[in-house]
Order: sequence, then C-alpha cells, then structure tokens
Amino acid sequence: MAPEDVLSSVDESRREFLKKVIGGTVFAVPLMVSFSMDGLSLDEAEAVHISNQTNNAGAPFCSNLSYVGPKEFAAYLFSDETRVHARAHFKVSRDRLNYEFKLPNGVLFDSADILVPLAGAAGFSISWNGRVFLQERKGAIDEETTLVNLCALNSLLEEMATGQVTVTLFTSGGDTLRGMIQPVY
Amino acid sequence: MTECPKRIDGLEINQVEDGFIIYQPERDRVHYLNHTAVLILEMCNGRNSSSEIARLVQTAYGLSDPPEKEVNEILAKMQDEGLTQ
Repeated sequence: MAPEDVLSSVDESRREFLKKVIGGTVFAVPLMVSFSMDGLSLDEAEAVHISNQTNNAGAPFCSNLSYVGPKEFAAYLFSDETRVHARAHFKVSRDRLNYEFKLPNGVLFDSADILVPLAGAAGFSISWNGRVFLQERKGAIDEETTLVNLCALNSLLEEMATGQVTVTLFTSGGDTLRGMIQPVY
Repeated sequence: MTECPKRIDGLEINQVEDGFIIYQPERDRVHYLNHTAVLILEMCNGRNSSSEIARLVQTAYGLSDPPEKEVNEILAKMQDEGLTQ
C-alpha cells in the first residue's frame, strides 16, 4: 500500500484535510492532552482583559505583575512510555517566574513547553495563546518571554493557580514527560 | 474498547501552530492533539479496526512496524474522552 492509499481509507470529505495533516510531517507518538474548561466562564475570561490593557494580538497585557495568589508551584512529570519522571518547581519573584526542572541522574533536559488553555476574547473561541517554550533547564519567565508567546505573565500565573496548566518536558534521550502544574501551599 | 471505533460526528478540529485543538462544548472540554493523533482520529470511520488503523499509520509515515501499542493507547483515550464511540 502506498502512502497516498491511506487517504482512500477515509471519507472523501475528509481527504483534503488529511492531506494537510500528513503533509511534511514525520511520525510522532500520538499525543492527546485534554482539559476541562470548568471554572473558566465568560465572566472570568473577560475579567482578565478588563483588569489589564490589551495588546494588538488580543492577549492580556500588563507592565507590572498584578497577580495575587500562590507564589510557588510544582509539577510532577512522568513518561507513560519509559516511566522516567522529573519534577518542575516554579516560584514567583517580583516581576518574573523562576523555574527549575529536576531530573534523575543520567537524564538530560532538552526543552519544555508550558501550555495554557485560555478562552478567547469572546469567551467561546478557544485559542492556544498560552504557550511558553523553554530552552533551559533552569531560568526565569518574564513578561517579555510570555508576550513573545502571546500570553501575559499575569494570565499564565492565574491559570497556574487554577491547576489548568500542563508542562511537557523533552529529554535529550527522546523521552516526553508530562504533568500538571499545581500550586504549593 | 470498540472494535471499529467511529469518530463522533460534528467535531470541530482547528489547526494551531503546533497541533490541533478540538473543543467539545457539550462536555466543556478542550483537547490538544498532535498530527499523528489527528490522523488516527480521522481513521476512526467505524470500518477500520485498531489493527488496521495501526497499519495505515505505518504506511502513512513509512514505519517498519505498525505502532499498535501507541494506536491502542490513544484510541482508548479518545473513547474515554468521548471523541469516538
């Protein structure tokens, strides 16, 4: 069977879409991360925008941290495939969020992704504007970092406080570890 | 798990920079899928078994073996989340 024959196994109406999905990609372990949107109501989504200025991209914008909530967070990261585990620690410090990943001996950090499900300005359209890509095992996320990724640091912290934020760590050995960021009280 | 899983009708799949987002308003759930997971979801037409889907994924990506374990795991999760039946 040729790769293009794969398309014949799906309904005709979906073939064009599937061509785009497959086109130019290589196999990756199938990944699905699901979130409940409970607690993120229209009122709350709008409140983020009301309490801050808004930039052109529609992401909340603020020049100072107005966030009030837990100052420390942690995530337990785990790979279902290889059972490798790690821990991430986050601490708010003035205008930045310091972070550090702790990995077992012999496991090396490659990069990490923080993913925040945020409601769009209308409250119904879902946008993935809370992605922060980390290239260092230890460092700080400041407003510049988050705005580059179309997410304000205030919003990131507010979502972290509700336990809605996931972190994915990629090791240099090819493992993918995932976990939810939770406040430390 | 259903022998020949079928994708739920009416799912709205939105492409984002590094994957795909599905929002289920009736369950108030949002799902992020990478391209392999979306391909597998699209193969869920009620006619393909999990083994056939694994073989199709093998063909699509030119793999040496069908990724049956990975396919079974993601299919179970999709069923749990109500994306397939």
